[in-house]
Amino acid sequence: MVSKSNISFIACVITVVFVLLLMGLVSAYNTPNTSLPLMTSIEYELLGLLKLCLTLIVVCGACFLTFLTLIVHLRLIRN
Amino acid sequence: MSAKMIERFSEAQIGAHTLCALSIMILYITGISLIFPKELGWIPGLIGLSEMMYIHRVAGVALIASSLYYAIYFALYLVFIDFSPLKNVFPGIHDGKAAIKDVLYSFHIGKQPEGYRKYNWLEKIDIFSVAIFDALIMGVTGIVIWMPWFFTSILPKSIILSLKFVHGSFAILSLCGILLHFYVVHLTPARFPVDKTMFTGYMDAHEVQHEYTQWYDEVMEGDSK
Repeated sequence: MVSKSNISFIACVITVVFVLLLMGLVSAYNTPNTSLPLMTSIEYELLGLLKLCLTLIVVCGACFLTFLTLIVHLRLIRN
Repeated sequence: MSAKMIERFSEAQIGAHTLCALSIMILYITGISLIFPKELGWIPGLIGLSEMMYIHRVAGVALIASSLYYAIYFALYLVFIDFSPLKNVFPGIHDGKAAIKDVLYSFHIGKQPEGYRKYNWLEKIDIFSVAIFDALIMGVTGIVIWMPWFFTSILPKSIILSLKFVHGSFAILSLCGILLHFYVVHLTPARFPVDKTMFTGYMDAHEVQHEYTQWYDEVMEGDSK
């Protein structure tokens, strides 16, 4: 019979195996002492566009989170 | 369940949350200083850049591990126990309705909403923002930035180079999300200065009855059977 505690244990074992594998990778991996190839001018333009999109995402996300905080606060006041 | 306290989180959930919270805090301290080197450059100066990056990667692995643990636990739970996590954890139409009612009530438009189920819509936004932004997006982009040479055969170089900005941008967004979580959980007047539910696993029955009425009714029904 599989119980909740058994599930916790199995999930824990799988996770520990994963952690050990990744930790081994952290210790074993060495970055080569060379630089990545340079980008072309079009790629630089696209990178600028990406930065703009990311800025918009961050600003919109922060606004949404501020709105949620306002809702929580207003709800607290009403209660 | 005791007379005045109701179990909300299992020991495994407390452990996974502790690992997740600690790793996220370490990731912010070690990561945000790289985005704002002018203002926070003293942090890598204090412990050394390579040491700080090592700590950042270890914390990143810990965060991915805790998220992976939750995912495996839920998958096994659905297969071997029952489908209750689908009702309690995953967002549904009732969460959308509850969110609309809450917003209207906050602006003095609607009536006072009924109590929530085990987790309310705001907590679900919290849970899934950590799962999607922190674990998935930050985890995947972090691993690619960590080992760019490994991925050069799979991804174009321009994408690999731009992932650093994606990683940094979502880190700021994630920090905003965690601050909201911190405010909702610990800094609201009823719970200030700290909500002990996530540390003990138990919640006061009066609070459950007032805040999570539907879940309280379910627990009481279960007890009476």
